[in-house]
Amino acid sequence: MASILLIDDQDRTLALCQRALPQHRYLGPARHWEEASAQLARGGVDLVLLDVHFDIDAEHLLGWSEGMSASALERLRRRQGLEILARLRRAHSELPVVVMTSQEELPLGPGDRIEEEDYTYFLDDDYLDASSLEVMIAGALSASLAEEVDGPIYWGRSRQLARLRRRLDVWSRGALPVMLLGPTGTGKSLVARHFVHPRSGREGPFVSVDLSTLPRDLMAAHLFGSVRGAWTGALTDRVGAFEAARGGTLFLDEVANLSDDAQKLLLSVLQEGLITRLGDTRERQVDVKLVVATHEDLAARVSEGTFRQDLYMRLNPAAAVVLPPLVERGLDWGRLVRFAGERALARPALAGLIDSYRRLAGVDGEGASLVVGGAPPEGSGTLMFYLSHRAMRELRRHTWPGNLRELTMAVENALLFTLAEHLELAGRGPSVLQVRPKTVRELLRLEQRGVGAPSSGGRALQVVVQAEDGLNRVSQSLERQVFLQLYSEEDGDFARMAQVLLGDGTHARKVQLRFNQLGLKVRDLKAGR
Amino acid sequence: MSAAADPELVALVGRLRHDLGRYMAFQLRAVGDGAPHTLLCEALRADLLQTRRGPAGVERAVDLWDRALPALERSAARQLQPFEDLRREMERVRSCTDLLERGALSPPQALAGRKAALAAADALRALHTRLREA
Repeated sequence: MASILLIDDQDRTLALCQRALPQHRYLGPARHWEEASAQLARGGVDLVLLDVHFDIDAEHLLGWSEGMSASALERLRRRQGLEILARLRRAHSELPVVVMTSQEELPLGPGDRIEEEDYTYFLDDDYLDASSLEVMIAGALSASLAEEVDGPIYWGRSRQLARLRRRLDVWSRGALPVMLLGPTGTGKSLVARHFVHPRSGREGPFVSVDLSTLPRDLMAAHLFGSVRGAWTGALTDRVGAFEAARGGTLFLDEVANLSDDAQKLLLSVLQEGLITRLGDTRERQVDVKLVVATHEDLAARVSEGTFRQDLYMRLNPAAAVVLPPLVERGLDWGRLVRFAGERALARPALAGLIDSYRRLAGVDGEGASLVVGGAPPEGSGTLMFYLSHRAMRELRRHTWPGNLRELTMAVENALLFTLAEHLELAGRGPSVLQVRPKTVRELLRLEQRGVGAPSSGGRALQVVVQAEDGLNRVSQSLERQVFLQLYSEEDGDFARMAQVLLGDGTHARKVQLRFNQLGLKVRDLKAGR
Repeated sequence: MSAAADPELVALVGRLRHDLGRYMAFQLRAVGDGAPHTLLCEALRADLLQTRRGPAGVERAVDLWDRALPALERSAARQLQPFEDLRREMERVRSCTDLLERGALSPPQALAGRKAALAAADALRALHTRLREA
């Protein structure tokens, strides 16, 4: 059951919905924006059904002014729903809105254009039909629920990641190995531990081995175990990672670093399901879900001859899951920052400092929350951190070579520094702690020393190219990064972006068109700043 | 004069499509052909006798039609087939409205009234589309 707010000057839609779709709870109808706004402020609304034509008194119309002509007033009434829609999109950008008309019937003037954006839906037909309305409501609600969080993993709400999550869900349950690809810091280890392992249906432990930190000559012993005397200094029998993970999941991070010996032994395990400890003659049965990850191009390593092709094929490359770099997750930006902040606030180190500050400053409540973007929050007696639009812009400007890992650390550091700045000031402090843009800027500058920014002063971009990626996908990925960086740097001014890209600010429309073609949406970026 | 050259005509038919076409068939679309006579009459009363409800009061479908008709007859719309269909169906709606107001609507007449209202709404939509695309 969903709570649906009707914004409509008539009662008949409510009656139709109550009769045809009794499984939902209906609020309203709100007769105009003020009533709708008050209802929305009370919370608990899952979806809005919005009429377009409002035959209501002039003073309740958005956009009405004294002295307006009768014809202008009539036009305003006929398009009042669009005025309300604009307010809804600004104030509640993620709330699904079903506009109760078809796009064809929208009362648009010459040159007006309205796009079907995320979370805004139009009927296929302007004549309300209960079954099509039901389909539309179900679709809008399921799309709004597409934002997925699995423990410490934020999948976001892009279709690309939703698809990837669904595929990974299937492969996690199967017996074949799972291969996770993507740049460093994109969350491969988190995905293996908190997504694949719980879905594998295995009750054994999750064991993780980072092959980039193991000496190559000890790798095989570490993975497959050894018996006393297998080599000088092997004083006792030793259980390897495969045996330790029996009945569970073994995660091999940076699998491209596998030594030749270990590659051969791993192939044998994948073929036979048996291991032999180094120095031993006895074969042991192992039953583990294998997950491997790398930021390297394994197919290229196979071509170079530094990774065995037969092993590569056994690792199930056809089902590889590629986690995208942070710069390609532009549409989820604001939520990713909020997610990282909430996780940081829950960590014991920061929680301890927060308690100290609350006692010192005389702030009530427990813990703290993070407000990202929008207007500064009112003090409500509990502790809040506020990342302003400007502070978010500083974060957006960064190139994030370390991806999610780097973002998480940067947000945690920003909160920590902000808290420390206030702790130094003795006496009663504010309950809303604003993270200063300067704090963010300085933190990122410290982080960036030696990494990220190219020495030439150009633009740093990242792209992970997989075996079957077409050039079109690669170039679009790079283009999206350039556009997202420029959009942030130029405050969303397409004329200035056109000046940078084309050397001519009059081509703003051209730039905006390409921006849209790349699937970037201004409203999402504004909401996520 | 071609219909495409008259944006006011497109706007007029667009308004009629909303005020008349949409609400003249609002409940009638939901009740279905097999609905009991009382339910069908209730839907006919709501859709045909209280088609437009606003600060200015309540208007019947035929009132809205009568107000728009002179302008339509003077326009290029009169040359289009959907307009002829609309005019014919609205006369059937008028007959149904008279019977409904006199409380003399038989079950077959109620079904015919529903059919006419839906057909008129469809003709209005077709007329608007033709004018927009012309």
